[in-house]
Amino acid sequence: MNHESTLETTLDKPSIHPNFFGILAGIWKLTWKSQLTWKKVYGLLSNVLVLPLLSYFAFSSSAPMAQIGGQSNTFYMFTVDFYILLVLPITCLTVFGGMVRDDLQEDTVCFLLTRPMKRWQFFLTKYLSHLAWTQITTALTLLAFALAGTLRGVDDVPNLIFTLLIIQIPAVVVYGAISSLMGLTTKKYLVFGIIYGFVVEFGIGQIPTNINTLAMTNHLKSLLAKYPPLSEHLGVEPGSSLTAVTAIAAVTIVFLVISSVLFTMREYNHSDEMSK
Amino acid sequence: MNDPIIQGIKLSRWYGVVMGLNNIDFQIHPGITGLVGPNGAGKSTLIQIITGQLQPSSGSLKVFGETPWNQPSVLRRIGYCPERESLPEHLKPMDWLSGLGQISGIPRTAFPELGIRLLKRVKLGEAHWKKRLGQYSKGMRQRVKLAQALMHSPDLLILDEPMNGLDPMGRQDIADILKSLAHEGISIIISSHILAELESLCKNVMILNWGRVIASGAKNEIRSDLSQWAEELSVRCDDPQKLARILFDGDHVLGFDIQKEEQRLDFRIKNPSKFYQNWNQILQDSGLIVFEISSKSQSLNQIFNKVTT
Repeated sequence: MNHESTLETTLDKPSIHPNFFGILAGIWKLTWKSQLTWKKVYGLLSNVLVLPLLSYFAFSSSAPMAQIGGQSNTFYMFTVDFYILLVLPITCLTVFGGMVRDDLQEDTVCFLLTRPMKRWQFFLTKYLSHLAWTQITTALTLLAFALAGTLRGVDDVPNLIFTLLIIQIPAVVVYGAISSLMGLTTKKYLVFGIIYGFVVEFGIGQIPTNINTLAMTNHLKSLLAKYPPLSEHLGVEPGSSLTAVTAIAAVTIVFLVISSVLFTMREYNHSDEMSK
Repeated sequence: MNDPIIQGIKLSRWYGVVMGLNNIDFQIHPGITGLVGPNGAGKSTLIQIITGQLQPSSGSLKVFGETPWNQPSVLRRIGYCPERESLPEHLKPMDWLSGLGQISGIPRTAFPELGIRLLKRVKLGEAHWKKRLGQYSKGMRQRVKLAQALMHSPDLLILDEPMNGLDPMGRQDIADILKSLAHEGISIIISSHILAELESLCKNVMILNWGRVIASGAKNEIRSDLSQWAEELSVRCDDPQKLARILFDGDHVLGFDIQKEEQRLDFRIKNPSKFYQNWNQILQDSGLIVFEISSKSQSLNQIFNKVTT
């Protein structure tokens, strides 16, 4: 190689000021860019469209479902009971539980962890980037539901979807925080996440004492109940928004702090991850 | 000599019951340092501790006077090029470099110019810039890995087996880049399991085996330190035949060759540790006049092969 040509491209020292927002911008860029491969876009489209399509066809082909409470109730079963309260938490479990482990499995985490940042900053910016991406994909799914509902003549679709678009924000925030701790704690985060869901959300959440406030689903239901048709559908009285939001925020913060401390103390390496 | 940039004191690292590094003390000074040892010697473990990916099990390690784990002020000064070939397969090099650059604190506006200069510097052909990293060959991967390590103008560049999988031209390219970086005052640590790869490149060498430092320092110091391990000696004296007889009777040699004209005896030692314990006494007792003793194992690589096998 010509030594002169090497010296021609000698690099001036760039001005470098590592900061949280720079880290967030970098991680966000790597996150969304990595989602836009054809293979992942096909997967994303199928995830976004499959449930709205099912809900669309359910009206014409599923008479017994429609008889439960009319078309609107069937639509609520798809959008609220099935999507917001079941599919979305499971989606969060796979996305946030795997957010660090995906880099470990791809064996590219060393390029990130050797950058000038605190480990908690890495973890938190990863969380925020995945949070933004999941909010976008969830919103797209709800918009697809809106289209399906409108085409089938469901009552008051705009207000329903607006409510769900608002509720998805705290839902993804809190389920994401819980899932990210699961992902850092164990390789079998999917199994443990589902067990957690059954025990806390379905189990403790049904106990008719104050302990049921540990179930985030209950707080989300009380927020959903602000929209009267959903209050009737879920059989839940609208609760205090402040209480619900405070509980969700507190759980989110606690889980994120525990995760950040854990990530700061523990080593994560490719060989451990691949040994599962 | 300059102050060390890296200092390890009684540094150990275990993986369960397996020992990666075993109570080692060492210093690494500015310049190009070769980290050499066979596979499993502890090179990658040491590099991962230096780059803050692993923590020591006991002892301490300081890089630029600070512990590297979770320490941005140290990591800011380190560029790391790992041994692994894995890259984010779906990204293009510019996207990857600008993402990593932003994480490192480089403003977004510095791209794509900085990316272009980096890729030119590591001699990655422009035709490949639009491809995804998953389509890259081994050599192209090494170059783009080196580019990301150079991005934030580190004071210390750490390369784990950078020559792996490269053809001779690629090796020469990387060697030239490293020389020009060293010329600019960047310290470099470069690991390899093949010492010959580093012999022409490094001023200093640290040899590891079984998690221990076998030798460390400037190349010629190491050569003289380890010359005691030489298994072939050449002695010029007034009576090489007599010396051959003494050595043969003492069961010290496996074979020998006498060069009468040069008054020289070349011989292969049977049991080096026992032989070198008695060597001075043998010469004194022989009454021979010795003109010159030289080791035939002059190559650092030969010595390395001996002490690591």
